[in-house]
Amino acid sequence: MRFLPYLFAGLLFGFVMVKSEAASWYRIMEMFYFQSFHMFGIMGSAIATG
Amino acid sequence: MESLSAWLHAPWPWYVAGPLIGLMVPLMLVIGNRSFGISSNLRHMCAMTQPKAVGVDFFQYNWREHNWSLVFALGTVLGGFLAGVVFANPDPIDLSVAALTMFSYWDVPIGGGYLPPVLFDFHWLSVLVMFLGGVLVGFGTRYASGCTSGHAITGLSTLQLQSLLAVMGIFAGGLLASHFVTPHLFSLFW
Repeated sequence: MRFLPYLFAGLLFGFVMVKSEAASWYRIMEMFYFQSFHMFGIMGSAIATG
Repeated sequence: MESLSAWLHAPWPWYVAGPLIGLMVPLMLVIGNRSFGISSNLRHMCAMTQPKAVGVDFFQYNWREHNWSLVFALGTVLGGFLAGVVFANPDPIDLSVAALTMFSYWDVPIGGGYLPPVLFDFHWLSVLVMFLGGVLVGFGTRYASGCTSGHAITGLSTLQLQSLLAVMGIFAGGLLASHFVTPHLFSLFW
């Protein structure tokens, strides 16, 4: 039971990574070719928030 | 309810996802004073399964203290399944025009999925490429003591120079691979 919060935290993280398409091969290629702001926006705002 | 369901199925914009990912750092601190990261699970799993006769020093530690981390990793799998399968986006991915042009030039189909077929099919060549990629990622994350989640999110958020160096290395490696390796993979497969 004491692990339950970690399960939920992981659940949230996995959900956001997939829902934001940050886990998408297409988004990652798009990022490395600097064709969209999407991934840089995710990383920038994540670091700024954290 | 209608709009909640639509919101759960639609992809989330960066300004929603980014701050939520950033909040993982304080969330893990609040839950149990842990630092957010994924890849040390690789080490924990090796430590758990190491036969007594092998006894590598790197895996000699009390891995039971890190069980929470494996539970977290399990959660990410469940969360990814929920987001990608249960609440799957009904529309194709909304890429930039430049990216769409590039993928059509490469003959990479854009379906509903997160991975292009062929490249990630269960074919010996794709399995080999994925296996080699997995070995390199596994080695790199341990050699750098962390992956993109630990270094880029936790490390940069806490202003650590070594994490900045690691992230620069990760990004440089990604640039090299995506510009000089991935395009040639296509000619192998097509």
